[in-house]
Amino acid sequence: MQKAIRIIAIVLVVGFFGYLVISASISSSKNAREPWNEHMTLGDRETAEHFYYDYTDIMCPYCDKFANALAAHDEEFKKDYIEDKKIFFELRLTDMLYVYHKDEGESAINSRNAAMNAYCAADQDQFWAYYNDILAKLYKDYHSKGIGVDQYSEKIPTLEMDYFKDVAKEIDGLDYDKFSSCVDNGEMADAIDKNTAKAMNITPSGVPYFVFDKYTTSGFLGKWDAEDYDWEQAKLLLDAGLAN
Amino acid sequence: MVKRKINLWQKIRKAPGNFADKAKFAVVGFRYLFGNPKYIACLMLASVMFLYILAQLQEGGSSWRLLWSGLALDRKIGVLGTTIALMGSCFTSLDGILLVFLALMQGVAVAGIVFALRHREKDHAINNASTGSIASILAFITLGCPTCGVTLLTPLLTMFAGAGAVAMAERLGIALTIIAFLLLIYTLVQLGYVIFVNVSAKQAKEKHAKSD
Repeated sequence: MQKAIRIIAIVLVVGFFGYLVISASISSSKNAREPWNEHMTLGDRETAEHFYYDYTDIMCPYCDKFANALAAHDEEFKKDYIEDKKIFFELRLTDMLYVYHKDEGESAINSRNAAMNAYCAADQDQFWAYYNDILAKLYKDYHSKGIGVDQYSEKIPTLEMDYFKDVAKEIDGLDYDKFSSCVDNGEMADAIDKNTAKAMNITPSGVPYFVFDKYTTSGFLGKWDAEDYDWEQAKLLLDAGLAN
Repeated sequence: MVKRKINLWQKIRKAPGNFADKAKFAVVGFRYLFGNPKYIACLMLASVMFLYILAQLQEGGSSWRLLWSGLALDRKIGVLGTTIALMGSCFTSLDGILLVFLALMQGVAVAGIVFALRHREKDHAINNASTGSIASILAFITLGCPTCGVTLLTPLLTMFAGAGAVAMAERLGIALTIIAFLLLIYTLVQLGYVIFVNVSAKQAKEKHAKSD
């Protein structure tokens, strides 16, 4: 019995550290450079020297910390990274949390609805405006109050579809009627399903998942109430991609 | 057959009593152990080390990956500093306090194992180190953000459960954490008892030598 415990312990310890080392050093060979949705990209793909992909879900708190950091330092991010470092950046938006949790409760639908709205905004080339605004709204209504910030906090309740659609009303250049019809008819459902299925094959460890050239990582070391701190952490991730 | 069943039942009934007694002796053993400042230092060092690993994994292990990236050394040192700051934030939330408690228990176990090794209780040290290691790994793999699927447990479960792995990881994570705590309690009682027996034997020997 004691021998068995020793063997199990050795296998577990060696396996644990082996997994950490391997997962930290391997690069994703499944990283295809073709954009999944051209409206969710930044930079020029033709002249790019670096290809960065961020697999995300609007309702994932750690994804939002990273996105909020980039949005708060939008100019710096676009100038210092996208332009100067010739980075092609693509946000690969999924409804992974809906797929993961749909059997557990109604609030999982938030992830699906958020993605549906964002994809319909992208259809009118208004993705970034919509994405930044919906994240700012979620931050104001929930995250800044400590709701939905991690697995231990109070969960964000099931949100009405209008919660997500209302954001689009404020976006200049967006045809709201067309947008609303796109959302109501689920016109982007197939595209979301396809991209989520592809993402789930690439990232076995959930979202956020980053493929920055050869550097892959998941999770984000941010704080909700420290914008500059989050930006520093985001820069570390971006630079780690450039350094590998 | 009936007699065997009765014997087994008596053994099971006796077991908790024995364990409770052992636990009382273990407390005495650890009180003796931590009367020595060297072992308090060992406890502190091991606890801080465990808390550091726990804090890193709590954030999805991204800082661990940054340490293995091509970043310059000064920035990697900065990453280490960030994790130290994360350790500090453990003291401000309920789940963080749980991590601190887990790290302290690991620290006590390490101090106990060092004592056992120094006092020629090699077998006890190795057995309890094995059980403690299993507890540590169980605790480590459940950390992260199970809701987002960012735990070390999720990719392992994905091999068996596919898309259901994240939901399973969330539920299984709680069970594994409880198992980790129970294994640690078992390890601490075993180690504490070994310390108690060792110290009592030493004291009895000294008493006997004096009376001679």
